[in-house]
Amino acid sequence: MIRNLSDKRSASLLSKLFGFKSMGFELLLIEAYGDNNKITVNYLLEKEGQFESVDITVSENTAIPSVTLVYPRGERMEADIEQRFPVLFNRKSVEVIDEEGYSLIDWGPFHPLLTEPVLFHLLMKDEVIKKVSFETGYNYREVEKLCTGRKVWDIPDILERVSSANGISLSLAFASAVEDINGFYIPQKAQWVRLVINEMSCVNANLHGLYNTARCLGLYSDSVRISRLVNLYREAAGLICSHPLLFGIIGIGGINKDIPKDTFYAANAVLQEIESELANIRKRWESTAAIAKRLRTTGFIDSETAMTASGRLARAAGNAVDSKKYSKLPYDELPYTVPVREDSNCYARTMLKFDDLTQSLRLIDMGIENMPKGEVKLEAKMKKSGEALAREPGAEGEVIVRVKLEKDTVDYIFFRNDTTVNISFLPGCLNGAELTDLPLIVSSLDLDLSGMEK
Amino acid sequence: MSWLNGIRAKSISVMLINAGGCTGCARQFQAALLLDSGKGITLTGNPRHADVLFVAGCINNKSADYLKEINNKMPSPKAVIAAGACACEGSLFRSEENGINPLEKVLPVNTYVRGCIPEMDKMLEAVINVVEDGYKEYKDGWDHDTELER
Repeated sequence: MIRNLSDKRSASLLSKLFGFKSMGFELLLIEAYGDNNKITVNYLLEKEGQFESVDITVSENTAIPSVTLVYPRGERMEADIEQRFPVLFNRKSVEVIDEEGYSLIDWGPFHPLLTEPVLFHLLMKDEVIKKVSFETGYNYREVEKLCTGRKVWDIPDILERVSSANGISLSLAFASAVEDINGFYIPQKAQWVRLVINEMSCVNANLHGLYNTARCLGLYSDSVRISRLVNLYREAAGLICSHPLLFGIIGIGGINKDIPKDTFYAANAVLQEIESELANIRKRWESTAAIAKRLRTTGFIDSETAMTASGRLARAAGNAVDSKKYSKLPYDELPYTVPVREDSNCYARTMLKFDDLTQSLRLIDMGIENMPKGEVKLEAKMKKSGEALAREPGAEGEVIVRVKLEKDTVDYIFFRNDTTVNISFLPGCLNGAELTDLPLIVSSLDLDLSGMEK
Repeated sequence: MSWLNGIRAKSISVMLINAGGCTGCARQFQAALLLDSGKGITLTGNPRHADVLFVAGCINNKSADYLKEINNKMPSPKAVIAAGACACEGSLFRSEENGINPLEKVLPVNTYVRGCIPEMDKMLEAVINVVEDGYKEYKDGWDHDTELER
């Protein structure tokens, strides 16, 4: 039987959250942990690097008021907790309009195994989408549970395999958090190698995103051109490491393998070929009226809603979210800018993808130039216990990892990527769109479901 | 009439299933199809059109039933390939409680492409070899569905 939380406690929780929102705090993550039939839900809020948390402890099978009334970005994080703990969140359900002229269409699943990537329930008026609800497959791999109780040395390998788009960033964030707890100072060369590898991973993920957009636009020849660029990336990655996704390099206390600077120069020479071809593709998309018009007229989301989003979705609406700001990597030593647009449609998001790619290639170039010689790994002796939160830039935004250590053993780990936040805004992007534009809008959002449904 | 058989021959239709994982193997296979050596192999989303079931990623309780269903819908002769460390032996996810790795616990597997991530050429080679062998076995009376029930 489901029990509702008392009105007094519900009001207390929501008023606390609303109070923090009015002070400018943004919801960073929602965690849950259970002990003796009691579930504690923790809301972690952040404002310019300052953290506040709100807790609520409830019995099993209790319905908690949804945080989406205050922070819409929390919807997917609540759904994630519902899948793993015996608690419910009272979210507003989608109203079904039972009027003449409206038709309900179920679209998906696109994946034959699951209801993923997304199963859409679309309420249509002729060819126009009026209301959307959706569900994802939730193919749970228990990654967090798998990591708990293991030695820290094993974790980067596991986290890299969570997602091919953000795996490197997750692994990096974990390493940063562990090093933060133990107060390690990482050798300079290792820091620059990590930065270059992280940016290379972003290049790979963004090229795949661009490939999907080209396919959704029906530009087969451009999609083949982009896949050639992916092959160029693979060629460069092959020079650095035998793994095409650069797995296995990041370790605790530095990097696992000393890579000579000449190898990076050779890889960079291959990577820089991508920039000119990307510029050609971008020019063609900008100058072809049919492509530009289709991108401009689809996937619009009002800027007020998009401002509460994260990563590229927020930057496309004029909110200069800097995902590199809180990184432990030496981004602050490089002259980078945060690309921003204000149209908040598919065109803005696609062009930002081009901007991000170009910026990543430049950061790789500068990172290799700044890379000094010397040690790449320190002898890391794990003596301290503690808790840390690390944020590193990923392909479409940032990844957040929260770790609790008992010396060299992981006691607790939680992580999330930006898809967890941004997928809540998918219905907003789809409202008013034509049915045929649905794949294009979804591809413009760069959803990394592997990283979300961990 | 070998020329007639040549005309009748069709490209190999592969159904690519990413059963849950980092999607690296699936992306690698899609990239391999764009190589010259990948010509003649096409991806299909319909199990009834598929010759080969190409499975990558960790198998869990949720995906196992769907995998069996898809395999049943595929017409004979057919073949199953387990690609990547996750599908072949469970990789780092082998100790997860929800998982039922490897793939051979769910379906009879014709061939394995090992590695995290397997090489492109090895993936294409496996598809071609498995189809050729599968057709020979089919003619010899080997039945994939009977093997599955067993």
